[in-house]
Amino acid sequence: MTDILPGDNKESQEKGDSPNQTDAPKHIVGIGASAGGLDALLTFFNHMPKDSGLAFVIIQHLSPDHKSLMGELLAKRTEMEILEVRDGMEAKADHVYLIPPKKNLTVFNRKLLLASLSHHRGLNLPIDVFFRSLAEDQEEKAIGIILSGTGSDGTRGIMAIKKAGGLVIVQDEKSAQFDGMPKSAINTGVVDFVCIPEQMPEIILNYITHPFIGEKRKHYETISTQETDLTKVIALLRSRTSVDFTYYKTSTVVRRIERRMGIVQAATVKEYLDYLVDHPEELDSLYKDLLIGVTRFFRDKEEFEFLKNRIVPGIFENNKKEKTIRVWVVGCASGEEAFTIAILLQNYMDSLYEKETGQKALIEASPEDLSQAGNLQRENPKNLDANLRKPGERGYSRKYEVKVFATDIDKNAIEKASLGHYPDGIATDLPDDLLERYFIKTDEGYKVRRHIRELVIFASQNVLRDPPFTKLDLITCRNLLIYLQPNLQKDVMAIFHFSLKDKGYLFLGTSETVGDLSGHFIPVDRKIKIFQHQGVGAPPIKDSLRLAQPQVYRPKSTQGNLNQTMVNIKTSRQLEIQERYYQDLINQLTECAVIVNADGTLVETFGKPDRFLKQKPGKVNLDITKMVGTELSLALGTGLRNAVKEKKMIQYDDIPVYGEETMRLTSLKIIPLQGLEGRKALDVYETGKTGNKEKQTGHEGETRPNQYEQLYRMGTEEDEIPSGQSRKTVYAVSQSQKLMVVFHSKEKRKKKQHETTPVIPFSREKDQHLLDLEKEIQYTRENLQTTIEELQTANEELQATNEELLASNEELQSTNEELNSVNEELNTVNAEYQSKITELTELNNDMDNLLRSTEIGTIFLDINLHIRKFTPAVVKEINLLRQDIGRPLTDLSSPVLNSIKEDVYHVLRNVEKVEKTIQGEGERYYLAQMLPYLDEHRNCGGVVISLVNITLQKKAEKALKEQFDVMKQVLETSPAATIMVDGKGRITFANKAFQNTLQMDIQDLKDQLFDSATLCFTNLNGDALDGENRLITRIKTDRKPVEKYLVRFARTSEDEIIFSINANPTFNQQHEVDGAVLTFTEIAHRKPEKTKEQKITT
Amino acid sequence: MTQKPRVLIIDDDAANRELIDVLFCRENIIPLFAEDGTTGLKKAAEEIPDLILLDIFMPKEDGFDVLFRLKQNQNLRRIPIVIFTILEQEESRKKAMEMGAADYVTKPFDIKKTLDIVKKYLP
Repeated sequence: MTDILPGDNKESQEKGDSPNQTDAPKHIVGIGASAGGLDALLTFFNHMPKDSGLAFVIIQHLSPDHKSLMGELLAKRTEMEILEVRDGMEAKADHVYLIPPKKNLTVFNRKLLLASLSHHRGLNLPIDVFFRSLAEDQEEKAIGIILSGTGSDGTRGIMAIKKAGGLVIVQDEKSAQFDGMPKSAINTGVVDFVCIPEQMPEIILNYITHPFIGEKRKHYETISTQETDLTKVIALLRSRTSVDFTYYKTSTVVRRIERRMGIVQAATVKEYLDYLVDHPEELDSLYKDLLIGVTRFFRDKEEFEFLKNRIVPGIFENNKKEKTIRVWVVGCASGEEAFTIAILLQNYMDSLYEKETGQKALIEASPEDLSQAGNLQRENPKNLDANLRKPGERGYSRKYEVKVFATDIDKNAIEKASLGHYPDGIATDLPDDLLERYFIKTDEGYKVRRHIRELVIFASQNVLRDPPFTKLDLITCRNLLIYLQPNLQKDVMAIFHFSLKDKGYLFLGTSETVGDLSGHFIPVDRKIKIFQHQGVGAPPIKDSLRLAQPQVYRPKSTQGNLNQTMVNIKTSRQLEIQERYYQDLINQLTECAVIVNADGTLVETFGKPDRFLKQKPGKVNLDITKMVGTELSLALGTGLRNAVKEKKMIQYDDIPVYGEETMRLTSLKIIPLQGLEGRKALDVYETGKTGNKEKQTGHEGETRPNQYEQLYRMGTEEDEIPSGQSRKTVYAVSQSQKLMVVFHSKEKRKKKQHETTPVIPFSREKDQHLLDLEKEIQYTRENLQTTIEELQTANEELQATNEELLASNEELQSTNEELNSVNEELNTVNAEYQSKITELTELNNDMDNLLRSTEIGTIFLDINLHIRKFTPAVVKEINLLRQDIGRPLTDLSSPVLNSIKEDVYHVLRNVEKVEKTIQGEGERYYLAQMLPYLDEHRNCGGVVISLVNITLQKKAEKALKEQFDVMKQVLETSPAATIMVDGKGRITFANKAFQNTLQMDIQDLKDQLFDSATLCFTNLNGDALDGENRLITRIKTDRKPVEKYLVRFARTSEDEIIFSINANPTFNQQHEVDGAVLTFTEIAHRKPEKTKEQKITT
Repeated sequence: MTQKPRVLIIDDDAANRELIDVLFCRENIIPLFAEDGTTGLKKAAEEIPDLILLDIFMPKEDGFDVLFRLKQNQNLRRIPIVIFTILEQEESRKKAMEMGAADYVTKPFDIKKTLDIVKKYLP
């Protein structure tokens, strides 16, 4: 036995282990569902085979006080085991796990962990919580599904899953009963599949069985052998998106591509390449996957605390003189980080302001309603200007001009970020006070308040290719470098070094370093990755950056034009040489030529512009009409407009321009340029700022605007213009057409001035008139602008109202649905009541009929003894009418009632029954019963009087009594000695004759046993009459009359009489013998001697 | 006395027969019973009793008829006959005595007196 045992144990252990191994699920599928999710879940499991090898965890928003039936319901649809999660349970394959109510679920090392709900703000997002932990724990083996539901729970969770390389599937909005959660999830742009629940199982099964997804990490080599194809994929990507992923970390890129291959079901990279060629939109998906960014407000709390307490004050300190703070958030993704920094800066400014003035900052003091916000928007820029000029007049804090440039390569992300709109979930990341101060609650979540949004400028930018921002106080570039190969990292660091001001800060991700540039950046804190610029030297900047062009988005090519893209970088150097060549050529050919935008903004100059263009002192203005003299200004302005309108060359000849000594006859040629028209029409404006490091960027013309700040303002309706000068450009926003203006002049002596007749003469008066007109137009324009702005404000208000109305409409709809269901319930209840009523009516009829048929008069009285109800039988005795209902009983007068009134009070007081016979009018008799009326709680609620007519019984009783009396009389006077006995033989009656015979009184005889010894009756032998021989016994057994029963009556032995008794039984109603009538006949006697002698002698 | 005296009682009233049975047995007299006249004549002829107690008022033949026929029979004419009746009238008493009855007892009878009469006629 002992030998076998260990072996057994071992075997069982192995058994125990091996299923554990196979129990491990291939993937864990998290399913988030809320309102309307049950149907979708049932459908989903209907289509999911029981042996998929997956573990399913259902995160459902459960009511805390309602028992969920989910388990029972699902059990009908799937053969998999369904378990409610217990803390520490291991997720096994082919099992379904349900979240218990009032708990948050997370997963760690495949173990499901429960936590009680945090009561933070009352907002709980269990789907987000679980999905995030799922993403962390399972990484690319995480699958997240969002089903029907309201709100936005799960939205941030799927972003985490996607970032970890997992699969994200969302229910099609149309099929979802409630589209809040699916819509919110789809809007993130990270969703891999949007489909109906029926299709989900198939998608998942295909995905997990794909060779690159299903098997473990050995495919790394597989894909590297297909390297040429991989390069082609990257090339295709570059041609479509202008982003080159060649030097991104191969592992990351390969993993993302494999993932996409799994999703589109491509077995090899070659197949995927073919797929890409046929489905160009897949390139966008891949691109998005590669750029996936997940940020949160105050992600990494500790670091932001540090930023807030140490760095922000430092930045303000550094800029005491310049009063300009510039921050660049690189790779801002959906903008959380950029807004976080803007909030920190604003918060600090507010605190400065408070310190300075002792009052609360203006913006936070006034609740932001939209019209007010509109005012602020209009006032702010001016205020800023005013403050800059007159410090001290306004608050200290207002003197700083804060700009946060937020850039990302992903245009979609930028577009979304610029809206500043975030789901409800951010509430858990932000402290309450900041949330309230800097966000407005909207229906779908939170919107960043306008004054914060104004601080942040979003732009689409490729940090590796596009020119950087300059004179920056802070650059944050978190978790971007890790995606880049070391050589690219180096380039980026060089750019940052160039961009930052002396003493500027660089804020990197936790696992990132400054690399080779550790000499140029010193860490501010050892733990937190914030570095300070040392102002030492300049690391070499990659050549290509100097060639930076204003980024022109090429029209997206549908087919990869590989060669063209490949040569792009190589040819740029060649282009530069060419440009210089053409510049020289133009300089030789013309006196002066300039390129302007359609609105007259100067873009580029050739030749000798200084002869015609003069910059007035003060703020730099690039409007060419302001730069030329007044003589040319009008003609140029008109010419530009006409050239744009008519799309043809306009020429003005011989316009006199007066110099100090000379007069020049100037000709203008305004030519619309064809070649540059395809440029994307976006809101374009130019700040006209010139950086002091311009030379380093290699641009010669001081009037040339800094291209880097040519920013794409994404179309938000309330886009503000930071400074007044470029207001006009708003009119020409869509006019990105370029024009060339060619100046040509002939010098004349001043004295000859009058000899020459200008081709277009302008008299002083006309001139003045034109100027007046222009002013008027300008004035009108401004008016118009004000009106437009007012209309915009009104429109915004209307939109807001509309949104509110939509929201309340939705609420009403859901209320309506609720009411509908309540209504249905009421209908059901109503139907139940109807049937109850029918039943009761029937019962009532039965009762009525019963009461009528019994001829029992009944009166129901309430607690105050008012008549509630009565039956028709009562009316015979008491004259009750229908209108008497409700009257007190005491009001009525009738002999019957008078005799029971007292009793009624008694019943009410003592709650006990009273019964009595009463006589009504005539010879009518009633049995009156008075009972307490007991309600369902056995409480006395009144009195019930019932009157039973007993006249007949009463009469019968009387008749019977009379009959009895007669009979008694007859018996009494009968000569035969007769007695009546009861069933036991006791005498109940004895007539006179009997009394005489026995010489006893009726009093002595009554209730005596007639055959007992006391009455001296014996049998003939003088023995006691007992046992079976008793006459009464015989009568009772035979039930027949007995004749000639002989008894001896002997007072002494010498004095005896022998009687023969004839006995007749009497029967009761049950036909039992209850007694007998006995007639005694003397048949013999013995008299005492004396009397005998006397007799003889007589 | 080796031989107990035997008395034939001809009476239709069972109560009387029962009572007499008890009384006679106490007195060592053997009672013989007949419920009617015909049976009485037949029994008298068979048993030849020492005395006959004869009821007058009986259904079918009344006591006078039986008395007449007993007196007509040679074998029975010497047996003494005591009339036993409720009739108290002098005529019936006279008639019975004339017809040869030995004595006369009226009902309800006095027990002692009756026994004395019976004993008087027994041997």
